[in-house]
Amino acid sequence: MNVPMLVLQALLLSPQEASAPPSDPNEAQRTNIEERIQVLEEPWKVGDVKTYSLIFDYAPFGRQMIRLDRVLDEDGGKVLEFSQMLHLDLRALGQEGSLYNFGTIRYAHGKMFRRYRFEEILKSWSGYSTYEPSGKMRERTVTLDRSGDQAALSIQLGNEDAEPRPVPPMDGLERSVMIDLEIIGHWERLFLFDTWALGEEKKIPMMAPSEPVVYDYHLPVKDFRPITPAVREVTLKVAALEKASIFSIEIEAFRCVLPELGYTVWVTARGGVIKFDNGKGLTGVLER
Amino acid sequence: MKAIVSIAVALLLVTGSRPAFPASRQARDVYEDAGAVRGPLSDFWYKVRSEWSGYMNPDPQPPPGGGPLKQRTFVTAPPNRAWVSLVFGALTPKPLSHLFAEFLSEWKLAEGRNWPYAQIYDRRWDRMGKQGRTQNIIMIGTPWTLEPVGPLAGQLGFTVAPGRVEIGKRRYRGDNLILIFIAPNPANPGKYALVITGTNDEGLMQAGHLPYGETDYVLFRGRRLLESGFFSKTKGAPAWGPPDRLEATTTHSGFAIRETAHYTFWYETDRHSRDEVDALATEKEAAYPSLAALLPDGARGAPRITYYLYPTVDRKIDETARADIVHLDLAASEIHAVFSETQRLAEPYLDLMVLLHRVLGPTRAPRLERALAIALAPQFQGHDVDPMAARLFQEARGRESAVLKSLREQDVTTPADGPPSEQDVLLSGFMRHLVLGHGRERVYEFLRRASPRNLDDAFREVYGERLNDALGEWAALLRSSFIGVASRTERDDPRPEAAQSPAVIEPGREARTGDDIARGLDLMKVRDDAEAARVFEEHLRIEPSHPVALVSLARIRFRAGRFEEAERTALSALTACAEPGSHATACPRTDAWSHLTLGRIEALRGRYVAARVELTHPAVTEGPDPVPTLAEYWLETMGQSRNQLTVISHLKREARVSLRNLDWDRAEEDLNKALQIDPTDSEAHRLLSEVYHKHHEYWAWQIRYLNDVHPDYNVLGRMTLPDEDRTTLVYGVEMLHNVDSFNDLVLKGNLELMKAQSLYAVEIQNLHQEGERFLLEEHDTSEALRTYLRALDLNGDFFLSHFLVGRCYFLMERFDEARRSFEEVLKRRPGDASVLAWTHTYLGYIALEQEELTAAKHAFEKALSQVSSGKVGALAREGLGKVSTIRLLMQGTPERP
Repeated sequence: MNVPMLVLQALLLSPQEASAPPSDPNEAQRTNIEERIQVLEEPWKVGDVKTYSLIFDYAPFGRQMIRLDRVLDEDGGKVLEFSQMLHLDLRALGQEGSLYNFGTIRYAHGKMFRRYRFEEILKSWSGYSTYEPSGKMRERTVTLDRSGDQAALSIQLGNEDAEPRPVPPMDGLERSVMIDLEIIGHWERLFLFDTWALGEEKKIPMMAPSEPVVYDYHLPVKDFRPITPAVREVTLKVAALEKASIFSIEIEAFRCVLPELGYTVWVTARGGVIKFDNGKGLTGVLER
Repeated sequence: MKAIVSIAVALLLVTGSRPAFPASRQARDVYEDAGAVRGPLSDFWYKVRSEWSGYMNPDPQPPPGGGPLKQRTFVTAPPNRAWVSLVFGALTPKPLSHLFAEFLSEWKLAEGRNWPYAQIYDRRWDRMGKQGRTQNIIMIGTPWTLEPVGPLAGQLGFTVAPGRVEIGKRRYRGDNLILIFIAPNPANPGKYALVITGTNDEGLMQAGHLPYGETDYVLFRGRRLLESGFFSKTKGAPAWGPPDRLEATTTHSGFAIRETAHYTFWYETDRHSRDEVDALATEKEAAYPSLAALLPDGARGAPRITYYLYPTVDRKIDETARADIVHLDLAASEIHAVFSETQRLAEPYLDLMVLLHRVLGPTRAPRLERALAIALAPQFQGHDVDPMAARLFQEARGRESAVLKSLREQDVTTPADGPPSEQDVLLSGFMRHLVLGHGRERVYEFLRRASPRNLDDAFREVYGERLNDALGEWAALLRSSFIGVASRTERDDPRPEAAQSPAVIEPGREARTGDDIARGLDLMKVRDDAEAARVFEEHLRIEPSHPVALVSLARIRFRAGRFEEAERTALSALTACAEPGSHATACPRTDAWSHLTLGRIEALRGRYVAARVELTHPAVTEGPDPVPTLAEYWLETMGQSRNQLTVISHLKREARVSLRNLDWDRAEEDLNKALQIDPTDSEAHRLLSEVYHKHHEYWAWQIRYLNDVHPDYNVLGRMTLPDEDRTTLVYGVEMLHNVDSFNDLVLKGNLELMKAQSLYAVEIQNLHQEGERFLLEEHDTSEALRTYLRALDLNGDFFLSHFLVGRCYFLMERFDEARRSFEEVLKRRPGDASVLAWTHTYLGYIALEQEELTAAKHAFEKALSQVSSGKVGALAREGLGKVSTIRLLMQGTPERP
């Protein structure tokens, strides 16, 4: 390993470290903060976890977790397998019930998805119990596989069998970055192996398994979101470098906007997503 | 190696034979440890129990086919009960000694729940006989009240003095330090002494709120852990030495101090500006004379009141381990409060509580102290106490009993130092009534005399009438005020928006119809709040009292975090609905959302009682969907940090305290809440399994004990009582527990344990694989070691993690550490021949490296006895060959032992 690489490695901390505030409150003023987001090397190590608290109109709405479980060898390349968990307490919307999403996603070359599989559970009650009452929850397993410019999707409801069926051809599938808009952890893949200067704007081919889901008091969450995988080009703009409030701690971060989706994401110089806002009452904040 | 990893993990997953505890804890029934005094703190009751059942005693002459230990459990029980002593010192100040006596009786009761056969004899130290002093003994007191504590602490390297604890070179200061440790009883080293001591006698009464057990000693400041560790122990020595393994931390480092005549403020300069603190100091100093004037002698000569200011409840938890938005440490006269732009919780009643406690306390009714402080304060949570009490009394359906509920149910181990509840505010309303009717002096006298057990007598002595009569009189007054209080328009600055923005109808412009409102509501639904606000504001210029426009605007302003404006607008909406008008049909919805908005604002400000008043308003509870469910959810999550990680860690900490106190229901409730937030939290699953298993164990012992002492008593039965004419059975009385739920505890415990194990196992498997990748592909041994150590953290009992760690140390030529790891593998007696063969082979090469030829030879032979072929067999044989060669070369040279 050459010296520059060593220096670079030292700079690219693990995700937790990257998101930590400087220990000295004045550090930010003393150092020259580079006005760009730059992620040249995979910052995640196996076992690294990031968790986000979800808040809806100031009420705790749920929690998300994403974790790098393992690195696999597939077709001679490294494939990262992340696991994810999402829990939403629908009482924050004034509705009874809860929604869970447990899944795994595999990325080749850091950001090109190979397989995305998640199980969604819609419970008609809130809260945890060791035994779960039968007949009061619905389950669905979604599997999306990609190989080159081909993709296959299977949606299994409960215990019913579901055969994978090919997804209609999509332009740019093989170049697209897979982002499930529900899972904040996926957003970091957008910034990987790239440099984003302040004010810069790029078009990204993004593969999303569904349209953005909107939660609100008047929208009953009675069913699973429709799965309609599609590649769309979205604009991402690094709009500003500002202090983002993470549970009342001010952290210097880049405010990035995705106008087509109405989303705002706050990202550290090392590509760590520390906060997001869907512009419709839902906020996610990195837990520390 | 991959095969070994997979097999081992599969074994762990399938058999679940060993609990996957992340913390390394030794089982009590390790033969070498049988009956030994060896710590940690949680071992106290295991030892007491094992002494009674004898199951820890080695049997020197085992019967044919018998093992070296006596039968472990359910041997024929000796008829006598095991003796545990509890000693304490004498306290001189009377109110504190009364309070301490009550604390001790509650503590004794709680500790007795650990095991029904235990007979706890409590005496003052000077009255405890020689025999009592030689039992397993619990000592509660400071070195200056309880004679043996000082020397015992000194022997272990502790110095405990008023306001100071020293452990070696580390010094801790504060009047709220509590030190808990276990050591051999000096009067009988074969038994335990469990000691609870500290820097202040009053502070010791917090001991019931502390999680301890996994180490030999632990030091807390209030409820915050400062240091914990293990003592040095020499086998066979009657006493232990100072700690040799420990973890220490500090609190409030980097806080700045601002002092004024009567106050000291601790704050973090990067979170609070000096100006903010100065403004608070000025405000406090200005109010101080009027507060002090309320107290006997004007609280003359009282030392400064200390405030610790935190920007968020998360920071407060970091520093104090308490999730309350505000709390007092009365032993140290400290107020810990969240103080931010929204939450400014430095209220005058807190200052009064500290002053009252200094002047009159500690009394035997701490909740009465708090209620009186609230009653005397000019305001509580930004409102007058009387209307709040009236509203709460209405909610309590006008029951006088609700007023004294918290006071009568009070136990001294539940201190009145956190945010007050609704009952406390009700009680404050009553106290205020007494102050207004009879003056302050009498209330102080009542406070001095009162205790939860003699409230009525104390009241009659001071006021010359029955407490219930006085309550009835006050209740009658309240009932008459219900209607008047319902209106919220009597607030400090409740100027309805309508009054602030007089209606100005632009010339030529007609009042718009409901289209505007509908359009605004549609915009709100798609969260185009800016445009919706513009529409409503425009409409309000034409029709200033339109309730729907007002409440919608209030909601938009709330969403935007403009709480004061939102509050004013919601009040205006309520006012609009209180007046007869053309929008009567919209009013139920308007009222519901207005009260909900007001409640949410108060909750975010940390004014929980005020929030409760709004969120339980009939307009809300009987309002249209989704308001009632939302209000209920806000009530449930009120006071919690929005950082769910903080919430989960705090819930787990509290569950540990409840588990130690054998409070199963509370522990279960907290863990269920934690798992509701994150069902993948393996530690929470493991703790929950512990709750169920320990609960089951508790009842098993209770049943056994009751069967012993009352053989005819069906402790698991159900008793049913017929009604008067004996035709039907109407009452079912559950005795102890029913069989189904009793057995269910085991099932639930197993299920939770299985969930925890599965989660741990998957994680450990991943870490093992990753370690292997680092080692074999990247040749990065240090990183591999770090990964394996992470796996070991998750389950310190898993032999394979020890093996993999040992292998890394070996490759790094850190042979002593490698040897220790391999010894840990052997201690766990793995059944996998391959792992055993490799372990012995590594140990053989370590011995060879250290020129211990005999040990090396034995190790290689053991390896070959497990596996004689393959790579490991070849290595072991090669090792044996090396031993022979070295021996030949060294012939004539004495071998190192």
